[in-house]
Amino acid sequence: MRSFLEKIFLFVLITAMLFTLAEILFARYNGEPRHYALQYREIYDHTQQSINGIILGSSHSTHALRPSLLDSAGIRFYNYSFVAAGPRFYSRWFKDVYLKHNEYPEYVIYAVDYFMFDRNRLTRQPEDDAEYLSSQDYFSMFFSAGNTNREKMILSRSVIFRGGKKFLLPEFNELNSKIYPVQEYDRGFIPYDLPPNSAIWQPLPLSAIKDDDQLKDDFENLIKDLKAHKAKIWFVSTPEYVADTSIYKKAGAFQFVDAIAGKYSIPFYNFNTGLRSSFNDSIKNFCDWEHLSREGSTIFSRRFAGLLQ
Amino acid sequence: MLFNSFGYFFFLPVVFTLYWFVCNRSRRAQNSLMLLASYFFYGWWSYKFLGLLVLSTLLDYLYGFGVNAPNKRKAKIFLWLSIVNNLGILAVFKYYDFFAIEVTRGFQQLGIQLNPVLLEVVLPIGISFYTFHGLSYVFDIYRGKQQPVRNIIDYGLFVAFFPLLVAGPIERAHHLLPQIQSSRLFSYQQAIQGCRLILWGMFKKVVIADSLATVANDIFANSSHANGYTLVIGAIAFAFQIYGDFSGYSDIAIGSAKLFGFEIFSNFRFPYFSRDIAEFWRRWHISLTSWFRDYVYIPVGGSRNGRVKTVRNIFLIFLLSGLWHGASWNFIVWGFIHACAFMPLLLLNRNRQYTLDVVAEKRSFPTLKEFSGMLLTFCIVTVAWIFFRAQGVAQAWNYIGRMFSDIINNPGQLLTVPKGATIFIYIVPLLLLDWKFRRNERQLLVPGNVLARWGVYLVFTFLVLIHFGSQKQFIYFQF
Repeated sequence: MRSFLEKIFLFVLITAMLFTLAEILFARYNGEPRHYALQYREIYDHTQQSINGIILGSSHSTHALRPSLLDSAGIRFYNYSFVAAGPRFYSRWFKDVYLKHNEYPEYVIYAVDYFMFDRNRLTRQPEDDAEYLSSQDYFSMFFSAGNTNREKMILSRSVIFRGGKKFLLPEFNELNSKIYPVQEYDRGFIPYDLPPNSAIWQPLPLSAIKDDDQLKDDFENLIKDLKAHKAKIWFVSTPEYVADTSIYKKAGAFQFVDAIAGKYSIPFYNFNTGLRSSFNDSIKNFCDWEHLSREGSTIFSRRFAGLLQ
Repeated sequence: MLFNSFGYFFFLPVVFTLYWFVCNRSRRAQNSLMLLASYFFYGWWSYKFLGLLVLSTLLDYLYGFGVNAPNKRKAKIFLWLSIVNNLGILAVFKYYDFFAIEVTRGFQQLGIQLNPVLLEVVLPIGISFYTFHGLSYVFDIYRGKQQPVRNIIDYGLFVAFFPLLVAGPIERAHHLLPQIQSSRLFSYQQAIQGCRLILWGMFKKVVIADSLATVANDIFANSSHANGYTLVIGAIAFAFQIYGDFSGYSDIAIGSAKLFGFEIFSNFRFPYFSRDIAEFWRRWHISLTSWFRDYVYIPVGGSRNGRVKTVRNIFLIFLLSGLWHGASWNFIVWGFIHACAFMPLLLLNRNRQYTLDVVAEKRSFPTLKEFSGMLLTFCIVTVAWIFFRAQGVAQAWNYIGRMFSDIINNPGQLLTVPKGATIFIYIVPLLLLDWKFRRNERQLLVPGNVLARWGVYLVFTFLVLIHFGSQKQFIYFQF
């Protein structure tokens, strides 16, 4: 037994030392898109001046809404849309991260999706962003009494666990910088240069979506909180390359968002129903069925800025 | 609790320490600790369904005494009670909705409209495994091969032993109970073998299976857009994903059991080196196929009552095996394909050709005949896996149809590297290592030199760690 325990102890010790060394050596390799780091840096460091508005939403709005082009509306926005971020993410992130270092925003654009209340779709949680949190926020979240996924927090914080495969294959890093060209980063916006052979043009069928009441509550609670702090809110459904508009008319999520918009007097700009135009039918405005291309995001942001004025 | 989780890597050393340092003076204390640990392990997933496990255990414990009655009629009653109880639990949680929907469809064809109440209950993890533990215990008592266990802790541990609880191997009372009922002494060699098996199992699960899962999931999800060779890649990826996933889990289970002084049956013996389908089923999920052989095939007559009944019995166990995996037609079709592939061997009396040896046992390489056999068997098994993986029978047929028609119509596509071809970075090393270990899956060969040996351990450990963040649930948890 003694010999066995000695060997196990020695093995664990060597593994831990090598693991720590690898964490230090490979810290500069990060398979994640680099713009997340910039978005979180803004939360902590406030590098931008006079930001009085924020944009919330999923990747649809990360790649659609260019804050610099919304300046013409007289509001300086920062785009805090994250890939796969839904109501559950924002209900936690807003309190546990954003508000700890920022005041309530005066203006909020919330980009909504017809699948946003399906628990299996927008699955991002604050734990996934553990690597970007300050040490204080990280440990505060880790030791909080709520339903924090501590295992995910450890996995997301570690270079090895988080993207070990990716640092072995530097092509992953190059691939990320090609798809998300960080040199064109614009206050949270980043273009989405998806390779054409990876693009999917079939939209998510309604039959595959199952709305979750808890997520609807999360969404409404956040809106209520923002309204209580006098934020001016807009809902927007960014344009999608979908010919069958009945999806949007039948989607339970949009019916719910409509009801919330009515209840709290929030303008809802739906560019897939009432505001649909020839823009939606022009493939050059899109890089797949749901994300705008570089060109599309420019045209759309300018048009949307006009509606905000 | 998953084996490939931080929780397990805290849980295992804690239980190990308590087992060998606190409870080591008393076998009863060790067994009590293991039972509590097993319930904790299961309850970590769901404390509500822990009640079902405990209830099932208690009932079979009591039925065991009834089945041992001298009065054969009374014994049979208790046997049937156990069968109804265990299969009833499975029926309610696993099969009710499927049969309700299919019966409704059948009546609809006759113009009769039914509105069945669907239960839509969560399938308790491990239910297909622990109910089979209980059934085999009661069957063995009825046949006189096993005496009822007096100590309820010992019996409870047999059913709920945590390394086996959620995805097997399905142990037999006559093999595991004697170990539970006797003292265990710590063995250095056994513990080291256990650690090696855990590491090897983690490598197969986390590195191989989860990496291949990404490719297989992508190809199956977009199968209508993929070319024929990509679809072949997807099928091969899934074949090795399920092998890595399930055999990896079994290795971790067997290795964990060894740390506590228990020897568990092997569940996989390099099935993709099988020279025919019959050998495949002696090497794949061995505990399940032997269970069906001993408790279904042989009781209904086996091969003793003529060709026709033998064929019927073979189809019966393969279809049941398919149904055991899931309440869905694609699993039944999967079983049917295997039955059809097995039948020619049975009818030609060639199903027991390869029972004793392993391929190229005394050589380094297989003969051409052996290689051809392995390749053909792998192809049949992989085509069948398409039904296993697909969302339904229709998708599987479309997948297979598209795969073959696209290859026939566009053979030149092979000149370009198909999407997903990187899977061979994972598959080739796995096959090479399996080939090296093929003579004994429990005694993994390691370098003799201690530095080389530790180097191998560290490389494998780091491969597991760097793949740890993108892990996925064990496939067999859903059964």
